[in-house]
Amino acid sequence: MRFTEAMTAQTPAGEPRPRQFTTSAQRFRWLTGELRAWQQEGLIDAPTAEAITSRYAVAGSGGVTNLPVRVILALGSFFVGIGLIWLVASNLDELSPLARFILVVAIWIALSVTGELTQRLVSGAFKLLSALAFGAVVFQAAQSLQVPAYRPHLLLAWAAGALLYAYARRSRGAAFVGIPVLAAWYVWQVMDASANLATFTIAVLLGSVVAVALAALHPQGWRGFGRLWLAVGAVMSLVGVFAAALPYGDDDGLPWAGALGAGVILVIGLAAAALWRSTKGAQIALGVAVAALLLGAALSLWRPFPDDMGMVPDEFTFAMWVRTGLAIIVFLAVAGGWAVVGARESLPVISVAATAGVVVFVTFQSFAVFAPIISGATLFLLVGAVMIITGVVAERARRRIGSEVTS
Amino acid sequence: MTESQTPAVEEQGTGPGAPSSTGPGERTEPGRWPGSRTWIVLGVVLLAQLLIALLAVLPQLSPRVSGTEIQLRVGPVDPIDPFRGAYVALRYPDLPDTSSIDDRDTDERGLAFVPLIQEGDVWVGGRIQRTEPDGLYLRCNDDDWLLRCGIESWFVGQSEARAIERDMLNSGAIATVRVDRWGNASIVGLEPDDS
Repeated sequence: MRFTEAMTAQTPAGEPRPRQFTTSAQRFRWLTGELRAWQQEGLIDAPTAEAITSRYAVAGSGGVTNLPVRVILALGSFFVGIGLIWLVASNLDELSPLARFILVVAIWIALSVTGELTQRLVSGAFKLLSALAFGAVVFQAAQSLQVPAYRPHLLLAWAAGALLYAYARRSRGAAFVGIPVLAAWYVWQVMDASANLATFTIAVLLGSVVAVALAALHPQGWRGFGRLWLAVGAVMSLVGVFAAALPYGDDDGLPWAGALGAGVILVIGLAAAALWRSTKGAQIALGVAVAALLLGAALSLWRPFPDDMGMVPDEFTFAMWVRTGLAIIVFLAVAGGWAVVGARESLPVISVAATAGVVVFVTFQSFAVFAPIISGATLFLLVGAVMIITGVVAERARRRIGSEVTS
Repeated sequence: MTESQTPAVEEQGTGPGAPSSTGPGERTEPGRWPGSRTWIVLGVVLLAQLLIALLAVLPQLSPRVSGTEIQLRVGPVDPIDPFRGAYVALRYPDLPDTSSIDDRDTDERGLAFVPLIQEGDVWVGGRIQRTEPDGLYLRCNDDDWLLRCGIESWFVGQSEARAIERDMLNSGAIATVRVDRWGNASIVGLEPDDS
C-alpha cells in the first residue's frame, strides 16, 4: 500500500491547522532530502511531501525559535533577577523592613503579570524573572524578620514557590530556576545535617535517582521539564560518585540509617514507576543513575582508611589500593554513562558536565592520592590513553555492526 | 548553545508535542488580553507562593505578632550572607554554652528548650531541657556546636554592621527579643549596653 492511500495532504475542513515544529537546519535538510527521494520513488505525492515539509520550520530562520534572542533574553533575565536579590542583600536603610518587603513583592507581582501580557520569548523571559524575583521575596521576608543567616530552608521555600509557578504556568524558564535551586537546597541540607561523608554521598545519589525517575515520569507534553530534571539528576549523580571516591575514612558507621532506608524505599517505588512507563532512553538514564547509586553506596560503605591517616602511599594496604583503583574505574564508568545519555537525549549539558567531572576528578585524584608515586601528568596520560583506546575499540565495533546491518 | 540547552526563555508550546503556554483549552493570541482563567490561576499561584514565603519565616513572624518582649545581653561577630548581605552575628553569654557539659542535662542533641529567668533588666537562660518547660522559654536546636534559637543574626547595612561591631566590642549590647508561647523568638532591636 502506498502512503498516498493512507495519508492525505489536505487538512480536513473544520480541523485546526497542524502545529508547526522547529528543528535544526541539518535535520530539516535530511527530511526534505528523504521526502524528495520518496516522491521520486512514488511512495508519496507532491502535496503530501509539501504538507509534511510545512509542519517543520528551521530554528532561527523566522520560525518560532530565535537562538540569539533567546540567549540574550535569558542572560538579561538572570542579570536582572540576580541584581534584584543583590538589592535585597544590600539592605536599603532608607526604607523600613516592611516597606522593603512590600516593594519587592510589588516588583515580583508586576513581573508575573507582565509574563502573562507578553508573548512567547518575552513572556518566557518575564516568567523566568518572576521565579528569580520570588527568591528575592523570600530573602526579603527573612531579612525583614531577622531570620538567622545561612538557613537552607529559605532555598527550599524559593524552590517550592518557583516550581509551583513553573508547573501552574507551564514555564520552562521558571523550572530552569526552581529545579536547580531545589537541588542546591537538597545538597546543602544534606551537607548541613549529615554526620559523615557516607551519609552525604548516599543521600545525594538517592536524590539523583529521584530526579532522573521524575524526568522519566513526565509525559510527552512536559518533556522540556523532564529534560531539566534529567540534567540536574546527572549532575547530582556525578557529585555523589565523586564524593564516594574520596579516599577518607569515617569511623562512625552510617548515621541517619533510618532516613536513608526510607529514601531507598521511595527511590525503588519511583524508579519502578518510571521504568514501567518510560522510553528506552529514559530507561538507560535510570540505569546509569541506579548503577551510580549502588556502586557509590558500596564505595562509601567500604572505607578501608583509618580516620587519622594522611594520604601516604607507603602506608597504603592492599585493600586501600584496590578501593582507590575501583573508585577511579567507577567514576570513569559513571561519567561515561552520563556522556552517552547526554548524547542520546541531545542534552550536551550532561555530556559537558560528565567531561568536566572526569577532568576535575582525575586532577583531584592525581594530587590527593597518586602525587607521591606517579606524577599528575602520568595519571592524565594513563587515563587519557585508556579512554582513547576504549573509544577506538567502540568505534571499530560500531562500524562493524553498521557494515553487517547494511550488507 | 543548542536548542535543547536554552529552555530558559522559551515557553512550552513551541516544540514537538508541547502544550499551549496558557493551559489546556486556552490559547493566547498575539495582542489579545489573557482570559479570566489565566488571571485566576495566576492569582492563586502567587497567593500560594506568598504563603510559602511566609511559612518559611513563621518562627520569626509569630513572636512579632503575639510574643512577649525581653532583653538579652549579646556579644557580636561580623560576617556576610551571600543572599542577604551584611549582618552582625550574635552570641548570647547568658544562654547555655552547648559545648559545656554543665549546661546540658544529657548527651542528647536536637530540639532543645531553654527556660528564661529574669535577672534585673535582662533575662538569662537556664540549663538545656528536652521537654517544654513552664513559663517563658526559647525553642532552640543544638545539633551543631552552636545553640541555634533563631536570634543569631542582626541584618543591617554593611557600614552600620561595622559600626555596631565596633560599639559592641567596647560596651557590649542588649538585644530586644520577642518570644511567643511556643518558644519561637525574633530579634527586634539591638542597642549598646549603657549599664
